[in-house]
Amino acid sequence: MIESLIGILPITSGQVKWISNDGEPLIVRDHLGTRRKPLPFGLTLQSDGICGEEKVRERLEIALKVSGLNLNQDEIITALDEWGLSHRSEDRVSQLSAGLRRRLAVLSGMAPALFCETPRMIFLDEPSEGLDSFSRGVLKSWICELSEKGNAAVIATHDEEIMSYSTRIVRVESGKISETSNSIGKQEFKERKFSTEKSSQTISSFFSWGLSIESRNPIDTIGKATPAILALLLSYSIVGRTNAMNSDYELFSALILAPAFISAVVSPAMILRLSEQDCGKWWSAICGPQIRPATSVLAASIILPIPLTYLSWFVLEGSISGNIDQGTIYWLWLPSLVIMDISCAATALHLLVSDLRRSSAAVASLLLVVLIWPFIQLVDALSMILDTGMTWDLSTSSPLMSLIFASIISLMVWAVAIFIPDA
Amino acid sequence: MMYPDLSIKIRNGIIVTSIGIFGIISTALLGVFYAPGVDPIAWNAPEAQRIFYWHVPFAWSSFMAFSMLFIGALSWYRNRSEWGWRWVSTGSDLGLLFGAGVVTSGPIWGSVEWGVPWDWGDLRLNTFALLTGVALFLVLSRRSQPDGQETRDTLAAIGLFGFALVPITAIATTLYQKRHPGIVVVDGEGAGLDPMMRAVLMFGTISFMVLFIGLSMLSDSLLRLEDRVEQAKRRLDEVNQ
Repeated sequence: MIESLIGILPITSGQVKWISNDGEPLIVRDHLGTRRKPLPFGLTLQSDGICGEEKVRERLEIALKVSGLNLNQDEIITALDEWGLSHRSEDRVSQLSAGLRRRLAVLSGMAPALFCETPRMIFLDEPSEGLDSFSRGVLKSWICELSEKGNAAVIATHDEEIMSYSTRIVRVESGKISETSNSIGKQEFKERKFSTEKSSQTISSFFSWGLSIESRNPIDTIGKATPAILALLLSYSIVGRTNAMNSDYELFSALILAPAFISAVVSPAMILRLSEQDCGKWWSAICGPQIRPATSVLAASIILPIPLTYLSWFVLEGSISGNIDQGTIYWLWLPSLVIMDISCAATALHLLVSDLRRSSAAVASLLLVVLIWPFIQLVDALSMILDTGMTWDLSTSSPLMSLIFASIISLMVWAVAIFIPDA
Repeated sequence: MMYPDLSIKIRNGIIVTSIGIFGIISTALLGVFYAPGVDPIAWNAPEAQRIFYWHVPFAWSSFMAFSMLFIGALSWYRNRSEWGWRWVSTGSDLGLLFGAGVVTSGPIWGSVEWGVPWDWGDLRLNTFALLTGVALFLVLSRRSQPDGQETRDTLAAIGLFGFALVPITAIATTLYQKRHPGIVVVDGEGAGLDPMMRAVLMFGTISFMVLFIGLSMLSDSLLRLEDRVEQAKRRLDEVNQ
């Protein structure tokens, strides 16, 4: 239910409509496939939704930042302290026990409403599951405080104790819905300092999150570079002798571009990161439908194509005979740029496959075959540059046009893979 | 719950499929022993040309299967209709079967006639190869993924993606041909055909169509029965709770 309300699960009938504080309705999801980014809210998923590479403090900061809030470091530590997490603030989430990780997930889901002056929605999926008695106490106290300050908390739970802290209880049993009201006594709460509210920065936060965890553990970069380097070494061991290719510019071009192309089509580690503890679902809920194009760029091989192509050139240059244009080296970056486009398209296809519940059991490579076309165009372009040098004319048989066509084909594949699933 | 009786449809499906199988075996025999050969001067491998009595009907049948897949995917995507999903399932199964026939018989013929098994400038071969790849993906994924609306949504999206590949492949192939002039053997299959050859080709095409219809009927019945079994299992799950 929670996943439908926040728009990440398709619904078979009806619509999910949010009403803003100004009374404006916003259809977040309907049965016809409409999906829009919801208003800023707090979210705790049943499976935490946190990647193990994140730091504890960083997680809370992100949850606030995507909601348009910004607390200073002291306030962050104070919030963590309330949940007994301040001594772990610089630890990675992977180092926490399941109970501590759950505390962080619940805290991060409630904080966007608790530290905001205007009332907000929060969604908590089985928040008490895995919490010890201390944390359950904090949870109950925070639920009451949120309610007292006019926020709305939608809680899916089997826990009768948590239900007793709710003002409205909706039961779904054997396909029947029943509703009861409940009253909670007034309580005193400590004074809180609210954060100033800005516009939420969901996509930029997602990018900085992705880059931050990749710099902490660069498995994506290494995972893409390794098969590329292996391909280069293999090419060198086969044709790396002097003049082995006898003016076969097309074969030479293919070998030069192959490592970068391989790095572009390898499944990105970012997709695995997003599947960890349903972290991708959390980001998808927060960012709305923009998450797919954003991920396809963030997870694509952007850094590697240019250095890999130049490395290939230096390693394989001696294996071609004939009068290659000496200016080729100045233009190798051009096909490398197009390989970045190819990488975005490949990532979009991997993302499409990752929508499946058992994506590891699906053969994504079958869908990647179409990317052979832009690669062939790039090989054509580079072989023309090798043969006659770079020209700027726009005839169909010019290198520039081949590069443009390769880019357009990649862009078309990317667009189809990105927009069809959310259409 | 009362279900319509499928036994007549299954029986008819078996009869139609049997007729289709008989027809395609007859086509092979007619193609080898009855149809006249082609001009040995104009063709590099005149005997290998006889494979086209299966190759062309394979292509037509797979075109029908891919169309079925596309219509089904569109219908599922727009209305979440059960028949739409059954068409996606049947279209992908038959698209894989007949598409594999095209991309197997094509290179066999091409390798002896053109000297190369694959021509990147041949639009039909490349389109069928990509669509067959998508069909294979769908068949494998349908078996490996838990059935549910999310899975069906994603697979229907991939089915539609497959069709979006057709114009992309057309553009890519056209561009490739501009740089690499295509291997031209005849202007088009069936162009200027001898009447006997045309008759065998027509017989083959009709036989493959009959086989396609028979397999579609059987596949549809099978999918309905699978759905009933699944519903019965769910009811048992509820009883056992």
